[in-house]
Amino acid sequence: MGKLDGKVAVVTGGTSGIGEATAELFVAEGAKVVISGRSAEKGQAVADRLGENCQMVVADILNEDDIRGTLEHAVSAFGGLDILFNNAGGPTKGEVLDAKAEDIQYAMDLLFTSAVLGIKHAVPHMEARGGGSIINNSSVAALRDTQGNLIYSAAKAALTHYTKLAGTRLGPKGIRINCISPGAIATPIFYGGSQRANELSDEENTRKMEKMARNLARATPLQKTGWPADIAAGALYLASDDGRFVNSHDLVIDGGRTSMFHEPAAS
Amino acid sequence: MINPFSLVDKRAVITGAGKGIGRGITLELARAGADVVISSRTESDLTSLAAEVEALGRKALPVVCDVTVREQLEELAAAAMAAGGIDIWVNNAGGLPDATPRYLSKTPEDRWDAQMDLNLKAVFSGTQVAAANMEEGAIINISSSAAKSFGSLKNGPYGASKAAVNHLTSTFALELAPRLRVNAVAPGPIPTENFNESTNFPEGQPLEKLLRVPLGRMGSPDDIGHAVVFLASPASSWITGQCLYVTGGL
Repeated sequence: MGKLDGKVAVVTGGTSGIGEATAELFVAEGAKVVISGRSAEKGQAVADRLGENCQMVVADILNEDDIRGTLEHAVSAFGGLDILFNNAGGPTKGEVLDAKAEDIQYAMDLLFTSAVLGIKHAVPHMEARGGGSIINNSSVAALRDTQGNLIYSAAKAALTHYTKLAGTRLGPKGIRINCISPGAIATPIFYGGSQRANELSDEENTRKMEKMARNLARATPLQKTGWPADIAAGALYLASDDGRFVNSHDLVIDGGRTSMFHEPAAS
Repeated sequence: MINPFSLVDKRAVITGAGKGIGRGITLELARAGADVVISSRTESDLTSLAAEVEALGRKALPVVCDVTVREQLEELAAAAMAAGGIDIWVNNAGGLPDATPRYLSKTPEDRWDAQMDLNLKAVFSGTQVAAANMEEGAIINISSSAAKSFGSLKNGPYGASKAAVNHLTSTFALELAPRLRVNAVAPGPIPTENFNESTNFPEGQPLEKLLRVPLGRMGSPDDIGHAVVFLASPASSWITGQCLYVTGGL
C-alpha cells in the first residue's frame, strides 16, 4: 500500500533532477503523475521509464497557457488533480549594482509568477476533489545570504512568503500549501543549468557531478551531499496524509546549513 | 524501493509518553516499526500504553522518569542502552503549570523557574544525556506554534521557553553533526487533556473556529506522531536544525 494510492500529481520541471526524483517516488507510492518540462526527448524518456502511471507534457512555465494545459492534461488523462509540485526553476542574474529590469522580470516570471499562476489554475481542480496539497520548491536562498545572487534570493523569498500567507486562503477549501527550501542539491543547476548539461557528454556530466558533490558535502554540518531523493522524500511527507495538518510551512532540507553561521554580506 | 519512512529495528525513547501527544508519538513510532522505551511520571499510563504497543507487534519498555531530575534522565538512558541501544530520542515532556493568565510582568519567579525547568532545561538535559549515549540517529524536541509568535500575551513564560527550544535545537544540531540529527516539531492546537486543563477558552464555540485554524479542525496526537516518524526516519536524512510546524496553518 502506497502513501499516495489513488492520487494524481503534477510535477513541473519533472524531466530531471529534483522533479524527476519526486515523480519517481510519487509513482512508487501509488500516484499517477504528469511531469512537465521543455525537453520532449528527456521528458518522454523519464515517462517511459516510470511506466503507465506517468505521462509527460511539453510545457514552458513562462507561458500561462502551458501551465493551465499541463493541469488540464492531468485531469483528462488521470481523472483529477490532488497534488501540485511547483518545482521548475533555474538560474537567474542580478546583484545590487548590476540589476537589469529584464533580468528581474525574468527571475520573477520564472521563480514566482509561474508558481502563483499554477496555484490559481490548480485550485478549482483540487476543490472538485474535496481538497489537495500544493508544494512550492523554494530555496534556502530565501533565508540566507550567499546562496545565490540577490535577485534569485529575493524572488525565492517572495515565493516562500506567498506560500505562508496562501495557507489561510486555501486551508478552508481543504487545500494545504507548503514549500520546501532545499540547500545546495547536487544537480546540474550549479554548472550552468539543465541546458548546459544537455550539451555535455555523460562522462563529463558524471565527472562534474562527482566533483561538485564532494564540495557540497564539505559545506554542510552533516558532511553529506544533498540529493534529489532527499527533496523527494520531503515532498512525499507534505503531499501524503502524513502531513495532513501541515499548512503554510517552509520545510528546510539543507544538511543543517541555515543553522550554521551568520553569513557576512557578499562583497 | 526501500521505504524511507521505515523504523524497523530501531529503538526510540519518548519522554512524557503516557498521555496526549506523547502517546500519539509513541504509537506512530511503533506503527513505523520501532521498539519503544516509554517514560512518564505516572506508571499506570505507561502500563496501558505498553499493552497498546505490544498489540502492534513491537516491544515496549516502561521507565518511570521525572524529566526535571537529571539523574532520572540518566537512568532512563541507561535502561534503554541495556535494552540494546538508542536510535531515536524524543524530548516530548512539557506543558503548562496552570490555567491562569501568564503575563510576564506578573509571573512570580518560582512559576517562571518551574516553566523553564520543564519546557527548556529538561530538553537541554535530555539532549545532553541522549547525545552521550547514542552513536548515531535522531533527536526530536517537541516545541510549539507559540515559538513563532512574535509575542505571547497571557502566555509569556511558555512562549519564551518554546522559542528557546527552537534555538537550542539548531545549536545542538550544529554541535552534534554529523553524528546525530537534531530537529523539533511544533504542534498547533491539539485538544489533549493537558491542553484542556491549561487553557480557558469560552464555551459554546468550536475551538477551531475560535482559534481560526485555516484547515478548519484541531490537530490530533497522531498528526504529531507522523511528523516525528518523518524526522526520525531516513526520509529526513538531510534535515537537521529545523523546526517542523504542524499547526494547520496557524
